[in-house]
Amino acid sequence: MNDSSPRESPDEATVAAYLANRLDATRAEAFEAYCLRHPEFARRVELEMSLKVGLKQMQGQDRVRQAGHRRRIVLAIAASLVLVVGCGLLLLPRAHLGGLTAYRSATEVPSQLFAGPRVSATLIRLREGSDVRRVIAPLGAGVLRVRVSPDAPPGRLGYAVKVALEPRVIPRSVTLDNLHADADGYIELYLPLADLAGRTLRVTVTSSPPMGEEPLSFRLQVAYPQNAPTDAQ
Amino acid sequence: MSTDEVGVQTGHSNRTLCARIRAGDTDAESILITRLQSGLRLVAHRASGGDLELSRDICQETLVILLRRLRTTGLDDPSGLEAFAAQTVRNLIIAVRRKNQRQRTAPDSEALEGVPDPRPLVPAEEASGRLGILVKRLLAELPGDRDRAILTRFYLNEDDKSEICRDLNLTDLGFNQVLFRARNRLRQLLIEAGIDKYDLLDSETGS
Repeated sequence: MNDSSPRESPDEATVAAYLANRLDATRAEAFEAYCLRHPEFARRVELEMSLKVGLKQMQGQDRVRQAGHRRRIVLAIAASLVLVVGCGLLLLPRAHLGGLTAYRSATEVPSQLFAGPRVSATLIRLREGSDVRRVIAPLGAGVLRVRVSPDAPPGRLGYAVKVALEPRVIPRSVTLDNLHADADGYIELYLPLADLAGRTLRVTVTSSPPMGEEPLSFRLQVAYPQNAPTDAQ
Repeated sequence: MSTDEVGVQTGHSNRTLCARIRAGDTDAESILITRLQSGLRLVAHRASGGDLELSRDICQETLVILLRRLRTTGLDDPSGLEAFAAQTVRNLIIAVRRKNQRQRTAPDSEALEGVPDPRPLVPAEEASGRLGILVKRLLAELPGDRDRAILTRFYLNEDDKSEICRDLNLTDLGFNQVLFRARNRLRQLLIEAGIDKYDLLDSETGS
């Protein structure tokens, strides 16, 4: 090591190369041997190394800060989106959808809804229960006639039918009461298709006022041919 | 360079210094530490792959080993004092690496990322080291953007000096003056911050 130590003070280029770790092992060890024998020179090199390390640390700190700043921006955008979507979900049913509309009889239905083809669905409780009943409305149909066969006696005021759109996170429903079965034993109501197309409804029938019986409940999916699920075609 | 030459430069030859330490002279121990400390830190820094903390620890450990040796058996050839110290640093670094390899485990990084860190957030400055803060102060104190550019390009980007001088229309002397001032100011900041007072008390006299 003594022999490999340079006699002359290493020049600036050698110092820079050492600090950049560009010297090969032999030259680096010779450089270090010189530093160990020349404390003043070693202190200067060490200061330069401190400067270099400090600059790198400073750059790292800036990166951490920038990453933190970017993370905060992303979180702020995400929070804003959640807020906007949340407000939208809260306001949408009230501002745009409003309540559902249902008519008690054909005479109440606006005439323009009857301009197109007629479509109806009859709902009867099956012994083994029933899945979603799917109705494909012809193009141009304006209103759906729903006939429900109640399987419990009416109350003092007849029956009440509640029609609600699923999912329930957006509460949108209509209830008709004072409904009475016709001669064939069916309760009838009319629903504008524009409100229902592509949606699933839950139709619930109870006596009015309720007499404690289990409500009669159906699920009904209404669609136009273009947006009907393939298995319902 | 011979031992005598070192002795001329530092005022104490290795042989004399070793003899004084063996005789229980604590002043001689201080002289030895002052003489070797910076050089040993450089050796350790490179050997550890740039690990500043490890290199400082290893440097201290080396000095302890060296002093114990000199107080007891001494060295057969005191002229090889520096070589002995440098090799001790390298051996200690190798030992640390072997120990780390033995203790290495393969963490489930995905699982670890999912675990929230219960510790309070540490300011970035504290997390990434004091030198960075000091250098930031140093850069803020520099008189102009040009000086900052010189330091950043030379030390961080490792650009060639001639290239920097050409780009910034600088003379060799002007370039050296910027580096000289920066080093001196950093030394002051280090002393003010209480980092290595012992080792950095001597002012730089030339560049």
